[in-house]
Amino acid sequence: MRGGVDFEVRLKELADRAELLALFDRYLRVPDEGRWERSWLETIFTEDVSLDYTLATHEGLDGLAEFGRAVHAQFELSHHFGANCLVKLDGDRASVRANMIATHVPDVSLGGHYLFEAVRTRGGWRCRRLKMNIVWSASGGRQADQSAF
Amino acid sequence: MPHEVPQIPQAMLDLIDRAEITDLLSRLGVCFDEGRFDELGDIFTEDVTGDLFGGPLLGRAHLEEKAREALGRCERHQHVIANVIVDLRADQAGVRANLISTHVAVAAEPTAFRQTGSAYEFDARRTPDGWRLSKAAMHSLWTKDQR
Repeated sequence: MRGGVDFEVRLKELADRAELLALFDRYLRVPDEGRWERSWLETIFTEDVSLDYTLATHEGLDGLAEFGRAVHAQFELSHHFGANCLVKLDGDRASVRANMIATHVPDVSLGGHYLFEAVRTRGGWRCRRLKMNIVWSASGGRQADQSAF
Repeated sequence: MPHEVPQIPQAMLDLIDRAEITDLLSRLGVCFDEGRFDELGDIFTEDVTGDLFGGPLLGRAHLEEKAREALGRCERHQHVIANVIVDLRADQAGVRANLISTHVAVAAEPTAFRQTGSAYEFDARRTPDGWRLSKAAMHSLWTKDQR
């Protein structure tokens, strides 16, 4: 590790890791922010992305906005909370595994794992495949007023 | 003429150590969520001590035994680990993190579960194979049962 070449390799891996963690965070917040415009989705997904949420699946960037809006149409808001995101690098491919707690108003919250395959493109890392496994579900609560702390 | 290796700033080396230790906790989460007990050797030292799964730890084999027994009581698990704080001290580190763990007894009934919020506290040690946890403790703060 103390040698120069090994250090440079590790530093590049660290940069990829940071980009993939940021990609995951941006992915997670798409429904929360309602950012379904194609120009934004293109910065997150490949053209041939494949999404598997167990209860619903979708293939391709085409129609993804409509799919996402339809899935979330029944909710006033969603809050996707991700953590312990683990990146495994393999050259220009990477797998990402993370935990999430998602709360939807009204009225369901659920917890589960995300498995994410990403590829390095000329524009940066993009998600190509995604699988979500739900572990638990419960009621989701009501909309918070702004006096919460 | 000897090859000159440029001096690597300590802050850069610390950054790499911090990322490796944070990933260690993420791998711990995967290991416990998915019952991948064969991966415990990549996470803990063989002589790990502390207090986990309700009682003192006497080495990695003992940890595996306790983990299998405790996690075996439920079919699905989620360990959400966040706010990882790493205090580096050369080849040792103190590590703290927050945990929300959820345990579903029967996978087909995901609405019945126990959820607990805890603080993790670890010691980590740099080994020839990378960072490993040498001491582990969990302090549970709140719990709720959903039926």
